[in-house]
Amino acid sequence: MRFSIMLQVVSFTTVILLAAAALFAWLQNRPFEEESAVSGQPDRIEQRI
Amino acid sequence: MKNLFRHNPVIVAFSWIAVYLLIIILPLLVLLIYPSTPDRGFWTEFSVAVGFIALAMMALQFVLTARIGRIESSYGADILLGFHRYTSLVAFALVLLHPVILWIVQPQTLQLLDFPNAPWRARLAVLSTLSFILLVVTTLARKSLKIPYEPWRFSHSVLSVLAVVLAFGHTIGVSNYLGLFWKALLWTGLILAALWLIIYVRFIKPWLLMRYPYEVEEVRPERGDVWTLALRPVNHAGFRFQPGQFSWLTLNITPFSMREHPFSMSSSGDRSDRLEFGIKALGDFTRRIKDVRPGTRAYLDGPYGVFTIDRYWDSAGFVLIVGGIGITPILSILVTAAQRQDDRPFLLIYANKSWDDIPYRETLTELQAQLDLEIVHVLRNPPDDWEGETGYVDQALLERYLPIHRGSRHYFICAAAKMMDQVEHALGNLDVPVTNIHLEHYNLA
Repeated sequence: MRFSIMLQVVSFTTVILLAAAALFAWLQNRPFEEESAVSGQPDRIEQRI
Repeated sequence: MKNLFRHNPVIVAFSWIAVYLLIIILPLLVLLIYPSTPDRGFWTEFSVAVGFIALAMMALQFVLTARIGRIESSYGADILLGFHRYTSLVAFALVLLHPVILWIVQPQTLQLLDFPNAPWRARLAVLSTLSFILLVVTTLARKSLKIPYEPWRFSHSVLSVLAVVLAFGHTIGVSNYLGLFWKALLWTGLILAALWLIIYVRFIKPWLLMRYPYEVEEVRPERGDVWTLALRPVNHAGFRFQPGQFSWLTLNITPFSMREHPFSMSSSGDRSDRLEFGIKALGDFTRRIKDVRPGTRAYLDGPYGVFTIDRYWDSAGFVLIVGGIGITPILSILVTAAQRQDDRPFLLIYANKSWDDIPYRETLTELQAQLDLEIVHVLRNPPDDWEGETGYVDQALLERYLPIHRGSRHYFICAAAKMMDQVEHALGNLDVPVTNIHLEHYNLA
């Protein structure tokens, strides 16, 4: 029973983490209406893979 | 109300899970502040997030295995190790998912697998993944590959450090999200904290243990190929423990060797000047116990574990369900209860192969004179004149002996995994509340 509960907790945390990854991707990928230039804000960093 | 939050085991357990999730998710969300190149597509960003989550999960594995008292006492060592195993597999799946998504959405990234010509950041990723694959394979198939426990434990530590350090090198090398100094600093802190824990467990803790040595006082044969190993503290007071707890034992070698083994104490928890362990000759290490000479140097890291009646002081009584050498922590519980003149009822259901193989049979009979203790022996190969219980501890047998008010007792089960599963299931069917059932897996390795 305890192991079954633990397995359910592992499944639950995995779902939460994947949801967090999806939220991260969505937030990062949502369309910008206007590029805002705030003084002192660093420039975006060049993409590397 | 504050007290309720601090002592309710369910609230404490879920609080730790919330902390676990926060430690993984927060450093990821911090990367969204002053983010890197936009418009790379949802799946590329999802892959990156999966990679960071996997790295944080890998780092947190060091916390799960560092034997941190407050975390361990919320779940028990066996559950914590189970959580470590399964979350490691999830992290492993995420590590593999990270490049697979990239290969699908950006097929040109497959070129990064050309190891001699790939940039260093890609080579580090490949090496980290290979370390992780080796780590998982040697762990899951340790028994079928016949890897002895001690070399496996050493390689497990080395490979886990390699996997985390190389993966972190990869993220720094890519530097899309860790290009800003403070972000790199945050993630470096997370990784260094994980590495600090392994340094603490492997170097600082053994050094501390060296200051509190023990000496073997006696090695006594018991029934059923079991040996009682008695230790006495040398120039220090030893430690008291809650009956049912266990310690990590290092025998005849330095604690730096990482060749320690978990054993439950079988003696009274209130007696710190002599600690006894019941050890069955089952594996490489335990088969050599009988040859250990009095005077041999030993070291103990403990006590650990939540398999103890001390946490349930208001229980009306206890039901102890044991298979074979699982008697060790239970013996400690009974011996301590006898010393404390505990007047609550104890029911011991004790399964063994044969009458002659019952470890501590005579000691248990003697304890019946000091405690309200009923013993039900269950034998698989009973003698011809046996009139007691036979076969396995199943639901029908339990129903015959369990008290009517089942929720008034706490149930402690220590046996082989299969028997524990069956007994736990049967107790559930007999309406025993899940919070009243406590299990100890004696094979943590």
